[in-house]
Amino acid sequence: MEHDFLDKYSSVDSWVHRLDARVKAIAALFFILMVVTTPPQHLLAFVIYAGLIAWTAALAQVPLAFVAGRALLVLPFSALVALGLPFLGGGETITVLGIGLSVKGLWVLAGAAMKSLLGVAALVLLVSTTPFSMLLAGMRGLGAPALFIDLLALTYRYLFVLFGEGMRLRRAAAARGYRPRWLPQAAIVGRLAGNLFIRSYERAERVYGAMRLRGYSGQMPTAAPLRFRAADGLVLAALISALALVRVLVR
Amino acid sequence: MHIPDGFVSGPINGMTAATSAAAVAFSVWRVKREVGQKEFAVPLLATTAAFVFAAQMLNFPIGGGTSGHFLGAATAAALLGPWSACIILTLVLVIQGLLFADGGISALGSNVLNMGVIGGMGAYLIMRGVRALLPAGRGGYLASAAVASWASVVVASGVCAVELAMSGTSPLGIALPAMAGTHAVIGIGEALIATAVLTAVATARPDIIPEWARLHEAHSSHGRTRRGVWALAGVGLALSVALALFGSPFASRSPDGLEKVAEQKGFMQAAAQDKVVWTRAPLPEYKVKGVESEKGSTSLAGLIGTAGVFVLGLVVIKVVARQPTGRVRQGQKRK
Repeated sequence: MEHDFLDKYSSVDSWVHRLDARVKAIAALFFILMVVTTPPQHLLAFVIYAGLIAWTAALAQVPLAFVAGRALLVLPFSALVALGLPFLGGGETITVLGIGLSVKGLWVLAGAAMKSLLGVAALVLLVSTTPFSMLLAGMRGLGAPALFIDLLALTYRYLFVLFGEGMRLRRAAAARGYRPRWLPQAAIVGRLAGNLFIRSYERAERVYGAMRLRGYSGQMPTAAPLRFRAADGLVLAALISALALVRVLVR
Repeated sequence: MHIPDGFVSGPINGMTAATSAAAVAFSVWRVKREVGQKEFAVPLLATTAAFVFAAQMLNFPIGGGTSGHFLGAATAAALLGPWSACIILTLVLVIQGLLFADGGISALGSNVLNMGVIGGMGAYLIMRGVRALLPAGRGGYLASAAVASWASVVVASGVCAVELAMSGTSPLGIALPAMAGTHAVIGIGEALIATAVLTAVATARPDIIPEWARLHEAHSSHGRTRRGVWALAGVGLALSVALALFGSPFASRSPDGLEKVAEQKGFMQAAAQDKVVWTRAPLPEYKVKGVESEKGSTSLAGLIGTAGVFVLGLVVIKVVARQPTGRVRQGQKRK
């Protein structure tokens, strides 16, 4: 698995990338909060939210197709839980192609779909404009517990290592003719996973040894400086007031 | 089972986030206190979280061309205990939410509750309860882990459906069968993989499973521990029965907007007549025929369901765990 897949555009240099990580984290969170609490009937508000995403993506030189492509990944979940709604919900119905659909059910489905798409889009933009280490530093700057941030940083670090090991195990099994077709064959996958766990445990032992040798005693040093400039404050104030206005006034 | 943004309502988000935050904070406190060399927990939890990610990549076939993937909560609980499992799943969910756009940030509380707290801690509780009913030893340990893996996946998906229903996103009648049905199948793969993982680890590095060490202690002082664990199983069963009795009417009494509207507009009768599929279910609408009180009826249906699962679990265990207790194989520690 390539590192590229996760935060492909986070090292681009743009005006958005240079903003303080804390500002971007708060902005994304506030955006999601506003989107989630907007009633689905306020269609114009959702158009403005989507426009804001597109505008930010353009400013940050992140291709909109990339953001949209990642956002569409949430749709299978919506299909599983909510696709039945227009058929089973009560209330008034409209007839489309000879099938009676519940208006209320359609609104619930549309609302959930729009909100989840916009929420994911905001997060994709956040991690595409902020390297993960900076994002963690920002979260820590906002008061997240240091231990939890250290754990997240280490998990992120070893994600790629263990993905690599997992890929090698899978390739080795495939090279020996493993082509699973039905459920009982999952036991082999389990044996691979067991092997992978032992490798990850033994890696933790070595990592711990290395950490101790470098003087670890419960606190990870941070090298990422956070700078909150006047421009950061301005952008944050403008974004929050604009979002709040859209949420309250546009319907 | 990852809930995106916009599917869970504000109050439910607040409640689940508060519960999850408390559970995670308590877990951190327990892990710090429990592990002798507490600093080792930092790289261990991180690499295990990365392991859960990587293992999720190993898809397995369900049949019919679809595949499921490993969730890992019960396996983590069986290997490292309930508190570590809760933290590990939280790490996985935060990174999935931030980097993989899998699960919304506003729904993080619900996702952690379903998969970390219920999936991890709940799995451990089920495992301890089931193990009390089995002969001590390797077979009992593995069988209890298998049952706990399956049950935790199904229970977590059921709670997920209840959260969606209480948010008014999807009526319980659609969400619960869809979620629990899918995950009842996924859970089988989960149980198989959990068993295989535990077998591999117990063979190669038995020293790294704290539970395994405790298992051998239990084996040496058989009678005393058995009684204690029986008590635990009793408490576990009593808890689930209590939940079924008092929790299920509560869940269905806070009706989602759709059911409410349907009731008001008189569509409920129409639905009852048209939806033939549902009336054929053994306990349609979670009610037992012939019981007048609505609350009592729902409770009874919940009770029957719980008892059914419990008995089914017992039968499975008796079949799986036929290995005599004397043959516990002491694994070789490899360095």
